Amino acid sequence: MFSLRINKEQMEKSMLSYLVHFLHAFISLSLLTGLLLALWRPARGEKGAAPLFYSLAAGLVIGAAVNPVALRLETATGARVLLFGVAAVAALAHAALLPVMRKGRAVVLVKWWGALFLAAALAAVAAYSFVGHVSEQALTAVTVLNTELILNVAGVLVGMGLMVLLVPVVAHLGEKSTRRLVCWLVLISSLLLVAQWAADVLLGLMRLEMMQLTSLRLSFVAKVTKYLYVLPYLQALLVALLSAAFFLRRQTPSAEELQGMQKAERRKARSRVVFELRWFKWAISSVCFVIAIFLYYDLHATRPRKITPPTMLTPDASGQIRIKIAQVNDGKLHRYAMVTDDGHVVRFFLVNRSLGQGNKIGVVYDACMLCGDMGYLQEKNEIICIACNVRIFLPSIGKAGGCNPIPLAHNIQGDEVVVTSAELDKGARYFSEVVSRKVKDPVSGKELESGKARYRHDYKGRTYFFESEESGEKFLKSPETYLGQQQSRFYRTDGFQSQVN
Amino acid sequence: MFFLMLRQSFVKGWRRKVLATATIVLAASLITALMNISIDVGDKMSKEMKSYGANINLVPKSENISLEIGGVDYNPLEGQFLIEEKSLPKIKEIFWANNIVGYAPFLKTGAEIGGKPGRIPLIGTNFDKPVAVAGDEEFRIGVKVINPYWQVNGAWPADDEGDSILVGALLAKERGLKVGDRIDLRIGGRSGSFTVKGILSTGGSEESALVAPLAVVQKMAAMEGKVQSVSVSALTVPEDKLSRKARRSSEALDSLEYDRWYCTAYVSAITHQIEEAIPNIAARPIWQVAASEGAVINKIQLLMIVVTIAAFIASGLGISSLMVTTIMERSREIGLTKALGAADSEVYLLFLSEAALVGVVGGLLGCAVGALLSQVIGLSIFGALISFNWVVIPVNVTISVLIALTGSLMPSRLITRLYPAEVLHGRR
Repeated sequence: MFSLRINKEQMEKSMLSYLVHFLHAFISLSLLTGLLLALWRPARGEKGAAPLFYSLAAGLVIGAAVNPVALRLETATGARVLLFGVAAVAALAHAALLPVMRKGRAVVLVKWWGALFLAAALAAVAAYSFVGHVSEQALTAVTVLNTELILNVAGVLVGMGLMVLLVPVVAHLGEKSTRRLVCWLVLISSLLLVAQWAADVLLGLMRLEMMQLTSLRLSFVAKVTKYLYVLPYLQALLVALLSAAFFLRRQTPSAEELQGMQKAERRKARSRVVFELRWFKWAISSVCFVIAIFLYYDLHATRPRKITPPTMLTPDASGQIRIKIAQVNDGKLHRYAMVTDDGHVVRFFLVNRSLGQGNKIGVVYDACMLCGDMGYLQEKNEIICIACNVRIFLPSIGKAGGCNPIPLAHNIQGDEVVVTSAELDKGARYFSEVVSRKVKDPVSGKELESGKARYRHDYKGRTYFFESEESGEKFLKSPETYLGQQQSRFYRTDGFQSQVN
Repeated sequence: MFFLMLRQSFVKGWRRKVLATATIVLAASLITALMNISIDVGDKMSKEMKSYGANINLVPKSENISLEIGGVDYNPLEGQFLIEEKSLPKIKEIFWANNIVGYAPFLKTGAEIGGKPGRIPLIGTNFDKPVAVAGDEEFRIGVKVINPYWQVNGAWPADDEGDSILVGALLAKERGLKVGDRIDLRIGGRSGSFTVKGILSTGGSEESALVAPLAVVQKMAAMEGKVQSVSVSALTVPEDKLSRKARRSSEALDSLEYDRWYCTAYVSAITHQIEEAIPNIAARPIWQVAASEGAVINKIQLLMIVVTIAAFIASGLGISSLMVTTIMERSREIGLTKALGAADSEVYLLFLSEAALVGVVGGLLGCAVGALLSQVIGLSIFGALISFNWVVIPVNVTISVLIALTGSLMPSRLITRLYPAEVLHGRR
């Protein structure tokens, strides 16, 4: 009975995601390889720099092989820690050797081997991360050649092309810039990577319980993870910086100089200027392209689906919320919200569940017993649980079970749906959103701003705020004295509770 | 200057360029045709896996080997293990009960019309019947609910009517039956008289059968309270990695994965839960495309890979020999450009871009020819036209350009061996 819909948008998104993940994994590799080439090619010559590519290839193979093997042996975290740790050490060692300016044979050799090792480690990490992404996402749903598979592979190939072309561009720009600038760039990009890897290794060690979990370490990991999305932009900007420096330093012979040259000489000088400009244009346009893709992906494509903002309602004097059926029986999802006494925002929605043949209104909390309070969305007559993407069978809304929204007890009085604030308050714990509002200290009766209150205690699922520690203590000793008998709020972990008792 | 030279070479040597293009068109059209078919089926399959709904078929676990000839099951119903009709509402008691949109039970037997010999398939089913299930007072089952595309010319019979029947469109045409006609049916020793209430079009095998309310068929076949199979329609989430893993073997899941799988509305989870709820039945999702065209497509795909490789090599060699003669013929031109200061790489670039251009043109033409060819193949294998898939074009152009470039790569090394002085002097 279900039509097979083509989801073009989804396919494009998955292709883009492959492209972006490839770029994320490999942009640092391209950048550093180009810079290392710029450092070493002038000294060692074209042939002499070839081992750099061999170690690169070896690193790629190792990284790509480690991932499936580690998954098979169920030591993914251990392998990741090891790989990233080695890479971090390699990057640090290489960075430490950079300022050594002595020209001795042994020193040069150590530095060269350091560069080779760094390239291999970097390549291994890049291959490991990307292979991990591919194995998580699965390139295709079926084994037969299909559009999605082709698009995903195309995404990877475009990324590959871009990253491969970036290497000679960076190398050329680097060779024409000062050695000092190149060294600085290597240092900066290495340190950026080391920060990322160190956080990764730290987290892995804590997970493996080989290192104690402390709040300092955890906050370092959290901070790095939070700002991780900037890293690829920074790396692209480093390339832009390099090309800007190249542009400023390039030699343009003046008109007089050109006059003074012989004809053949002049032609050569002119063509050199044209070619250098071409390199620059290449670099800048590829940087712009990469950044544009990142921006599109981050700002547009991966924006999570969000609920429509609810209409805020306040109960009347008798603690009731009344909604006219005529307002909500058009088959659309009508979302409302109420703020409880302690600041919880309780969302609920009404929808005509009779599929256009009557006026049966489903009245439910905008939360799922299984998935939490991400809420529900309406897309082309279908109600979708945002968290798990399940389509909810419209006539079943108002019934508990599965991924259905949690039913909300209500009355139908004439042409109105009546929901009591007491009933909504019981469901407050299904939701995590809290706003600050005026509350009363139940002991002293003083008015407080809940967001600023320093002392608070939970009782039967409700939060109470206190002006001082003493009144909090008093409250904890015998809450009933201040609150009287009351029913506990519902918790998701208790499962669905019928509202009768 | 570069583009001027490129254009000149096409204007001057158009005969050879046409020949090269033709070589590529041949290869590209073959690849396009096979790829188009393969992608068409692959897309349908992947859409099936990713759709948000599925039809599930329930059959008894120990179903006898069916003896179906011409749509009529000759196995006597008496000996078969059947599903109890009264156990079916349990489908609505599983964890994902709310995702079950509806179901329709079937009981299939054969009947004779009006004493004429020859058994016509007779299907008993519910059309649109309210069923009391826990927590849902308005739940309705039947083919009208789960197969909204079934069309009836006339009227649907009510489920409690004892003498109304639907006639499949093909059967009606064959027997000349119209709405309002009366027919007599015989099954074994029992017989009954029915009014044709409507003509049924479904696009499936029901078109050559009689469809009657379930209770009537149960009575006629003396199988009260039994059904043979059940179609269940459920809202699901697309298959992903976890469900594929579970489909291979549910033991492969660890307890955390098992919980997540069980609590996600995958088809496999829902069928698993239905099997838990009703004893002795087997529930299988119906992957229509995967079952029918999927079997052929694996062979086509293998053929495609072989043909692609063969075409790649063959036309690569063709391009290669054409390139050698071109370079020999234009050696003076090459010598002159070198003498004027062109680097080897620049001459390479000229020849390779010529080849790439030929590849693009050949690839595009090949796509057009291949699109026609795929229709011919589609008509002869699947008996249906195949929609042209736009994604074939870039893939094919890429392959064609690759053919042209690899073909020209080897001969273009001759360029380095041409020395201006020698060539211009005429010694080579």
